[in-house]
Amino acid sequence: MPANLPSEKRPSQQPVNVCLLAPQQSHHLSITHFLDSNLYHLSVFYSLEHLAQSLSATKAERYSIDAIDIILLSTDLVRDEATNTVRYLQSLIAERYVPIILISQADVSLSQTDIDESSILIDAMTAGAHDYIEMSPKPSAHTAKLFSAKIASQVRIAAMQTLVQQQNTQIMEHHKHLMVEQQLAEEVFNKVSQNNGIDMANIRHWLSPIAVFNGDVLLAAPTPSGGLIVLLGDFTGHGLPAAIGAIPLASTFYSMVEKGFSMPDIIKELNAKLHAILPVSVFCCASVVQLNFDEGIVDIWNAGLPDSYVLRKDSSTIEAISSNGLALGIVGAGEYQPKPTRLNLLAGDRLYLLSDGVLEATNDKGEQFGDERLLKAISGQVNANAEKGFAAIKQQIIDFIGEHSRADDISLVELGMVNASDFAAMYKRTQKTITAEPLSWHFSYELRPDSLRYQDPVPLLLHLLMEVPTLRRYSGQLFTIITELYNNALEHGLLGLSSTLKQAPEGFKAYYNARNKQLQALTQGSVGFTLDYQGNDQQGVLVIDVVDSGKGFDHSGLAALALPLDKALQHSQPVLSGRGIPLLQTICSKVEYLGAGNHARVEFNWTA
Amino acid sequence: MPISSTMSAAKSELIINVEGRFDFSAHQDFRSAYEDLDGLPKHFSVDMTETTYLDSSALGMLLLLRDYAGGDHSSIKIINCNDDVRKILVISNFGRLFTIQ
Repeated sequence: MPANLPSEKRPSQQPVNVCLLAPQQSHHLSITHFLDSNLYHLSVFYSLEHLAQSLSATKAERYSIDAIDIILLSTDLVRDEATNTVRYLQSLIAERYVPIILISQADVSLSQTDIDESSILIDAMTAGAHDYIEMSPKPSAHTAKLFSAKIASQVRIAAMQTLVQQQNTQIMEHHKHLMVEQQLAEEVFNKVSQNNGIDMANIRHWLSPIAVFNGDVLLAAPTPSGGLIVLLGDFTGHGLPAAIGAIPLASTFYSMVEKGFSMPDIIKELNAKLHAILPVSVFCCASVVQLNFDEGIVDIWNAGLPDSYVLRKDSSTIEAISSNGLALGIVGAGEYQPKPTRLNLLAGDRLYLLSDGVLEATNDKGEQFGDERLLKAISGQVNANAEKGFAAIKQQIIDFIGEHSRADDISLVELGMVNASDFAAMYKRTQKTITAEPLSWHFSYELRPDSLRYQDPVPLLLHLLMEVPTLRRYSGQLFTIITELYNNALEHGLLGLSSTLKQAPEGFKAYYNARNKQLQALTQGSVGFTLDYQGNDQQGVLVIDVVDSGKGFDHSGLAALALPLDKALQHSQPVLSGRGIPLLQTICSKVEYLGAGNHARVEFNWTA
Repeated sequence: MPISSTMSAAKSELIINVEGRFDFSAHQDFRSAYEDLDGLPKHFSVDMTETTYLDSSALGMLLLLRDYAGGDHSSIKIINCNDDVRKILVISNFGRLFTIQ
């Protein structure tokens, strides 16, 4: 009956290989007559030794253990060695599932007397045999049919078992493969997400164990103007999507911060990059913070992460900065306008950024840590020194979830406001020995109304200067020089704005409103830069000329500025007050105005 | 089945109900709820009456629905959110992308 055949394993109707073990005198050998030789291929062995010999015979006569589909084992052969016999057969078939079916005398279960026979069956099945079939010395035709059916059923089970085993092996292999991929992704992710900047003394952080590759990213880099920008990100999902997103996130972040781009511009670019790269369902919740140590100003922007908190030095009340933006990578560039919140902080004030894992950290009762506990933990540290305070907050979370819980997805970051000089001391950029060939070049760049409206020339010019390796260590000063000169040329020179506007209350706002309005209306005019550099590995001179198309101004009073700085400030005329000239003089070896006053020239010198 | 959906009589609106935790395990069912339709309805509603929790992969699934329904031109309401669910949607500023009621 073909219906009795195991279907999955033998589509080609190959006969089932049956291995029958029975001593020569046993009536169990009559099985050979029951099985349809079209469906079953029967090999008979009269003892274990006989089987062993056939297995190790010369190649031509060798019996292959791998060909066996089912073993029929006569109790006449086993006798008092049931356990060992079954174990021996199992050791031959090793990992494969091959049913071992005992052939016993008839009526074992009814016979109370034949203790021997039933204890053989019990021992054999305890050792791992799968079933037994009773067989009388003179079986009827009906018994023979039943016998065939039982064998077929066992073969079917074996085929199913083999399939499960194969699938299981496949799953295990896939899993192993996946783990290796995860580890690779994790390695890449950790390299790009946790390398730079974050070892500075005013940044304390706790990121979940790396073994649980979680998708949280912490990036920090100093700005050319002596500030610091920090990003905490949390990608949707774990594994590969997070690693894919983290790479452009980190590289864009570091290169834009280094070139002096503004925080909103950096955020917009990060959003555009992620939107272009990531699948629709993957995005990155993030907080970005810019610390300006000179002025004690912090700009903080939160998109999709839990509230960030500010703990002031002399107060235990905490301010929260809530998410007000869409996570990075959801919408395209045009619709994305980050609106950071500006705070004034004093040295010693602290800022906390966190991912939702902190609030969702769960104890064994199923309770979450939550914001109330977190606020209490943070406010409790107002009098502690920063190092101990942060450790204490971390400990409270660990104590809450208990030792045995996994602290997955927890990212907690504390940023300290410090004095500018302290920050400068904290951040000593590792200066590599630079060998520079002599350089001499000249570069001109002119911005016309459309560019003046929409483009910030500072990053571009700074980028150009940073191509000179020996100038990189002066990026902060060069940033200041170019920014001051450009603002002067655009705002005072070209647009004719007066900085006295800024001195009135609300003056800054009025000033910048006026600036934007005039810029929008601008139809002609230009600001031109000329950069001239000559230098070698020991010294260099950079001359920057900035010419605007404005009317210029009376710069005769500028001579007074050649006096020492304090005197110069006393003498400086109102028209000069807004031009940051004393600041430029502290950096440059020469600051002068030429012609009608629409042409500024500064000279920056460095020596090794 | 934690995800079920009903089409309005005029075939203009599909309402998707999410029961229990809305997380990655609902991914396939949630997608089938709107992808296996004959035509694209004009409006969608995601009914969160029975939703207890929402994680970031659920937010990702909502973005997939939005993309499927026409992105910026889609009309999707998220209705009957409990406080926890609403809080997550608000933190994420999803009010800019969906009508949350």
